[in-house]
Amino acid sequence: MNNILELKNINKIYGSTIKTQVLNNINLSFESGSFNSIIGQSGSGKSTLLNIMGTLDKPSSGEVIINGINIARMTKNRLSEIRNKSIGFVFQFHYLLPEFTALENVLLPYRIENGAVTKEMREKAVEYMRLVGLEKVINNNSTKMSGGQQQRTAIARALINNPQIILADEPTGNLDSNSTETIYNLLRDINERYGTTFIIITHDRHIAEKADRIIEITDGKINLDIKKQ
Amino acid sequence: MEYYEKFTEILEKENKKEAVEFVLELLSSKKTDVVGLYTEILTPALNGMACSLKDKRICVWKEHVRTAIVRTVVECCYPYVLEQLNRQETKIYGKAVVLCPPQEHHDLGARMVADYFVLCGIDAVFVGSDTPYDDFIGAVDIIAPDFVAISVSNFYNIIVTKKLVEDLRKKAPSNTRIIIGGSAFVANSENISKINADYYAHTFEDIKSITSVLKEGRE
Ligand SMILES: Nc1ncnc2c1ncn2[C@@H]1O[C@H](COP(=O)(O)OP(=O)(O)OP(=O)(O)O)[C@@H](O)[C@H]1O
Ligand SMILES: [Mg+2]
Repeated sequence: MNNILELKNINKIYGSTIKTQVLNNINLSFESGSFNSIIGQSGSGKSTLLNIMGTLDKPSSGEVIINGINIARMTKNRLSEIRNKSIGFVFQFHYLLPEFTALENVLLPYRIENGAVTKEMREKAVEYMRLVGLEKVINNNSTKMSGGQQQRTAIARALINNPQIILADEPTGNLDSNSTETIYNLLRDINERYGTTFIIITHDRHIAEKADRIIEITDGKINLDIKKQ
Repeated sequence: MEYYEKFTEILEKENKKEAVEFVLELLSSKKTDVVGLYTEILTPALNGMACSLKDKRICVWKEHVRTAIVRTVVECCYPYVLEQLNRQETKIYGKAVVLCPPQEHHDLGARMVADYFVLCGIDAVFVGSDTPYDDFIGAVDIIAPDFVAISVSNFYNIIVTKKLVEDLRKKAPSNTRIIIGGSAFVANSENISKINADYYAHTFEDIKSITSVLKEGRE
């Protein structure tokens, strides 16, 4: 199988006077269509790693290769196109834009990419909101939703452009075990149906044990990398 | 193989009484021995539990019921373990602790492995997955087992197993040998080398050859 994403010798150092090395020589590759989880203690470097994978942050050294192409060789335009079209994000803390409704938030990546929203696209967005159990609040202002509802809206938003890769940082962090199960089943279904690659940071053992692969990060290093099969 | 088929048939009916009677008859009439029973009948029956029902909750329930029946069967075999041990005139050479990582729900394989150790002349305590992690690590230098065998089914538990082995290396006596096994390693053998154990065991023969090293030294 081909690798959709590769990291080569990634280091990340914060600070110029007092330096802290947050990531230490990380080498990883992800097969296209795989369902991966990343676990590790708080502060171990998981979010930093995910942001580098998603080209939202730059490593201090090392290479990020998406679909065989080193992102250092890409123009700014090409990079933002990849970020918007090929990668779907679910962030750990900042979920939604406050001035928009839930549905408008879901449609945002599509609007950025294509401009006007078609009727089909609107219907697709409503369908995703239904799948994450939120058809009743699609027109709520995003600030007028609970934390878990905002998080589920962010998941629907990550899915809207049918990206090749979804990077999710604690996507079920605010959810009860029933909703977590529902969301997991939805993500798995999308993974199987469209071959979408998932890389999910999670503290939830029930999510991690169902992934094909678990990567454990300890103090910015890969402590363990295991595959189910 | 006809005994295996007959046993799975009984298991599918979830008939505990018949399952126990059937197995005890096999053992008392020497149609098989404990190792043959575990290896050729019970383990494949556990692994092969198929469920064609749509409702997965009912499947999970059925798996629990059938596993409980096999557990009863295994416990009923102990007199035959002892009988075989007496017949072999095997001395007891050492001791083993057989356990599963915390939250590992599939511990029946480990339970059978405990009997394998006994048959190899190693006194074995089976502690399942109930032993609190810290208590075991804290007491292992006093228990001083010759072998610690860890059985892992759910691949997520490989993570805690790696840590457990690292902690055992620090706290257990230096001659304690660590053995890993279980379906998490059968499903992907690359995972074996990710843990710093001394041995990987899959069959009774593996346990026999691993423990024989100790025997030779103590005979
Ligand atoms: N902008 C920054 N400047 C300096 N240090 C940072 C910055 N962002 C993160 N760090 C440090 O980098 C380390 C890793 O942070 P990161 O957010 O990647 O951890 P994490 O594994 O995602 O933790 P959590 O599970 O709590 O979300 C932490 O020690 C953190 O303090
Ligand atoms: Mg984080």
